[in-house]
Amino acid sequence: MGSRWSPYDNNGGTCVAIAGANYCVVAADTRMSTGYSILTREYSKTCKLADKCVLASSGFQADVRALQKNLSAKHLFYQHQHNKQMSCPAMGQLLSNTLYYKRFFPYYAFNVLGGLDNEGKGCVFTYDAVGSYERVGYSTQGSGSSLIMPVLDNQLKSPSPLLLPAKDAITPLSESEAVDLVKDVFASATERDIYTGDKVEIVIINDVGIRREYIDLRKD
Amino acid sequence: MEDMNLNAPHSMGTTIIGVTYAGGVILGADSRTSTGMYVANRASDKITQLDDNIYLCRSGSAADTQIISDYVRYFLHQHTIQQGQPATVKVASNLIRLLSYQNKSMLQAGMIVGGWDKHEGGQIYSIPLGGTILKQPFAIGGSGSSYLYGFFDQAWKEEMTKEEAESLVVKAVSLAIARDGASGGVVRTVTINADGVTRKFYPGDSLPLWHDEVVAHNSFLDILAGSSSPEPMST
Repeated sequence: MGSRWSPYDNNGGTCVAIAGANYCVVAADTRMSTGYSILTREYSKTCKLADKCVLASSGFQADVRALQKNLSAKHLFYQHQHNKQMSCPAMGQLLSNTLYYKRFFPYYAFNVLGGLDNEGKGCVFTYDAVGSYERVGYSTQGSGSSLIMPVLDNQLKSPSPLLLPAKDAITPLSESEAVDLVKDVFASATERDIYTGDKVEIVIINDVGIRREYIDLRKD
Repeated sequence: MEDMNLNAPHSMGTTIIGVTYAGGVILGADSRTSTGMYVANRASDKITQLDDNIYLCRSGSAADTQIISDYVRYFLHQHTIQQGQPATVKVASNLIRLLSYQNKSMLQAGMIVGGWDKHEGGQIYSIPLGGTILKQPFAIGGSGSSYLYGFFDQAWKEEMTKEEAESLVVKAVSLAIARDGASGGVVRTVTINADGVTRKFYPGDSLPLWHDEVVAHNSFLDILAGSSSPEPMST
């Protein structure tokens, strides 16, 4: 009596993305859990969907994998038909449509999409599980999101999201300052969230290309 | 459990309002999007454009209302091309209603359409859960609207001026924010009339205080940091 079989599981983890004037930082921890157990300490939650577009997703990793595969396949079609890569805003709309397509049996995936827009400025899109989305200057999803979001609100000195139209919702911080902030928030979230830890994978997208950094976090 | 709440689909426990006045309409809303008890977005824009002269206030499921408004914006664009003239508020409202009614078992969307056209002037149409359509001189919706029925019974009058109507809308949303936990943030208004569309926003600390509310003051962190409080409000 009590627990029915569920098609979903939550593998935990936290994702963050921050948009800058000419860069975007997308980060996620590398711990994969189930219940109180750790399945692995070295799991990547990020996925490069296009040249200047990276997806980070926490939630149920089986659904995340399926979603990444689905989007990559659609991107391949797009490249064949249009002879170019998808821009980050275009991928943003595609992800929303893909999520809403399964409105009544959702992907249990909590996504942040980060990259450069057509003008080379950083852009971040944040989603719920069924596809509602918005372009923002920064966002976080996952088990540590409620710990991290208020810190980003305080630290990022972005133009207030309260103004309309929110044209440049982009932080004035430099790339290295933004990366340092990401390291700090993950370190703090690791202290207080059991599902966040092990390592943080930081993906930095700028006009030169994409690079990755790995920083160790507490493993307890 | 608390974890489940954070990951629930975003729903806009909300306050939305639309009123007609002597020259047009004014739409108003709060800016809080909550998932369970977590505020997913404290600065959302719930008043969405459907066409140059027609806007939509959204409450309920964020995803459902975004998709509905995307479809109707697309249909109206086609309709304008086919007609050779701007779409009317009535047409826009009925398109919203058709999607809402025909998918009633699957959607959670409470909406208010407001706009101005040259045939009928300013109009407000209310389309609650289920897909009823009702043309009204004013409409209220969302979880915060429960607190406003008595207020509007007393304060509403026909043929207000633009300024009277605007201050009525702002006062109403701020009253609802004071009482409804699922409403908060800032008050956004959109005014639509023959001259066009104007957007305004009223930050939380500019709103009047109601019974038992305390005066907002700067965070202690700002005071400790001394000099410049971080500029949160400039672009």
